[in-house]
Amino acid sequence: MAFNRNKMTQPQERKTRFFDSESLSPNTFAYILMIPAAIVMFGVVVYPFFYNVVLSFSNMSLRHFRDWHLIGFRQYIEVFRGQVFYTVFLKTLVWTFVNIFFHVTIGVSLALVLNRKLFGKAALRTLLILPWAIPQVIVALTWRSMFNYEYGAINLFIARYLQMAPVEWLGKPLEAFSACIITNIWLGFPFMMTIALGGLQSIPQELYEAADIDGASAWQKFWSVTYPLLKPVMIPAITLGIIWTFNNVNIIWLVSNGGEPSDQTHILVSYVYKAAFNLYRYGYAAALSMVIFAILLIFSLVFLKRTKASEAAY
Amino acid sequence: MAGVRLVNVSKTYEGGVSAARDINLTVEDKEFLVLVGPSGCGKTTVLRMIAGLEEITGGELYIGDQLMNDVAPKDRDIAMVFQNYALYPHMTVYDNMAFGLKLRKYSKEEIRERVTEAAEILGIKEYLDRKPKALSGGQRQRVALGRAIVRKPKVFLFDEPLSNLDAKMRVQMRAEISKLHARLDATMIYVTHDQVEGMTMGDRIVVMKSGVIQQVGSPLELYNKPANRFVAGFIGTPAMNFFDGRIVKGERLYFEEKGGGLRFEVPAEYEKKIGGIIGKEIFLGIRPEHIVLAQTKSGEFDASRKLKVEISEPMGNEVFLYFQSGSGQIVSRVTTSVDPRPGTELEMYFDTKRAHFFSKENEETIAVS
Repeated sequence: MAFNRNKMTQPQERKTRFFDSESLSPNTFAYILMIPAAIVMFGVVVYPFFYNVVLSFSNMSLRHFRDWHLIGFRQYIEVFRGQVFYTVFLKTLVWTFVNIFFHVTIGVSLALVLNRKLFGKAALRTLLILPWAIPQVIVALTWRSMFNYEYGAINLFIARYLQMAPVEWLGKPLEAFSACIITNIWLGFPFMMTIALGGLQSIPQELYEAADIDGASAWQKFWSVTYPLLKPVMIPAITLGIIWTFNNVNIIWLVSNGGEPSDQTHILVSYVYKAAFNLYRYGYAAALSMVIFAILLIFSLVFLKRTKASEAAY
Repeated sequence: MAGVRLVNVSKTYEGGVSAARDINLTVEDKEFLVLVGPSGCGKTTVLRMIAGLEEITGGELYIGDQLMNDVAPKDRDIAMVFQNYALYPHMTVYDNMAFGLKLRKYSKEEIRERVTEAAEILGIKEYLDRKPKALSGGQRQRVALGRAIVRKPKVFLFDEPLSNLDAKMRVQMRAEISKLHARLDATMIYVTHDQVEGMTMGDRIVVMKSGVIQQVGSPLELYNKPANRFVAGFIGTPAMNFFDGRIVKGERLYFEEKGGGLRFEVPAEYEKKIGGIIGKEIFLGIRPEHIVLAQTKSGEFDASRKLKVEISEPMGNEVFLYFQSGSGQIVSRVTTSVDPRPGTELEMYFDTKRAHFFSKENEETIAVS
């Protein structure tokens, strides 16, 4: 009844207000509060997305910057007709798979170690999360100089301690691609480690004790307690990791210096970036990015559904 | 089947915290032994040492005749039921119960036979395909019991298995575990903080406090002849009333409460036992049911006092009356259906023949009825 009393005792004040939240239905007021956020979301997500869709059906490029017009599916046909798309797509799959594989195995292994009683655990944990805290650009440039043929720390290490010939990290396609992958593995495992550690800590100790009494060995405990209970935590993290890695333009672009040598180290997004901002083929880049979007969307839906990631474990 | 024997068993954690000290205890074959005590008294530590989940830092543990100190939990031939059930959440009820048997390489037919039999005993046969999260607390605890039964172990260990259940389910499961004990004829060691569980289920009860065993005995022994003030206060609800005071000599011996409160004649049968402590400070203990309305009982000497009711708690078949005395609150348990208002004066009869006398120095029992 607070509404009524307010209206009855303060009629003058009500008229002079800009608007009265109490006279609106609760829903309307909520919508009003959402408007600023909605405007921003529209400006930075919805509008660019649909603009991109339109561009992908157009011939916009440096030559047709102002006089662009719609040309139907021609850009898509161009994407699928070129050999480059398939090789780059394959490289993207390798890039994503290798990265995620090491992110998860290194991350989970470290989490298992950190989940035990360990001297200096807090310090170690901080140290291991550090790669994550450094800006990607700095990481990429640091690793790029470490991969330097003559002065890089890695070649110095190889020459001095392993007594092997230095590797031409950034000059050859396979080596350069490997360098990018190594950098990104270093950058990506802390995320998986943090998630896995959280997952491990939420597994009740009693389950391990019950397994002890049931007669399980350490290995059997891992496969019948840790693994199934960690899975629901890791699946969404892996899905995110796959999407992030698939879309990671920074590391490839900065470590290999824009796909060097001779565009041999591209993944799909870096290739799109090059098409759009180095070659100014906006229509083509837009079509390619729509294809990437479709690939990731289908992957995420299928992956999450098949692994039943949204199902609670307990 | 086998008994369990603990000889001077101790547990000291790193940093010197002692959780159990010099535990000497023999659990007979097929006995149902209950460990009770307040939280932190070391009862769970003792159970976990028997299970092998906690390292024994001193003394010896035997299951049957075999020294078990350094034997792994899986090789001790025990089964344990945990407070939080500890069911594997990703396995079905069937797989939960079969897990231990699978690891021990039993044949598929044998596993099915044992699991089905256990499920029948516990009435969970229709849930075998379900996951634990689709079960209620009581059903989950049945599955946990089932997981223990299928192994047919020498010793069953229970770590507060009913604490997470609601009151009604607790009473029901209490009876079921007792029935199970009769049926399986197995040695069972049961930890609880609930003395009612101990009283109703145990062949014998072990009362612990601060890592030390206070008394071992049958439920009635503990109730009627507590070894010290702690056991007297821990066993029985409402708890025993304690009066702080001293024994003085007049014509006869009297108990005088501190601060000029109550004063009782000491019954003749106690005089010999407490003759030596005249003048010393003691605690007098009387159970609530031994303080009754004066008109329902009268003794050969005057032990009735007029007291003002502070609170009255009708329980249906009985009433708990709370009074104030010099050294604290007095609770009386009255079976008649009175329901006095707070402030009413009632004449209460103290059955001092049923009193307990405890030394104030070490709280040991000096004399009981």
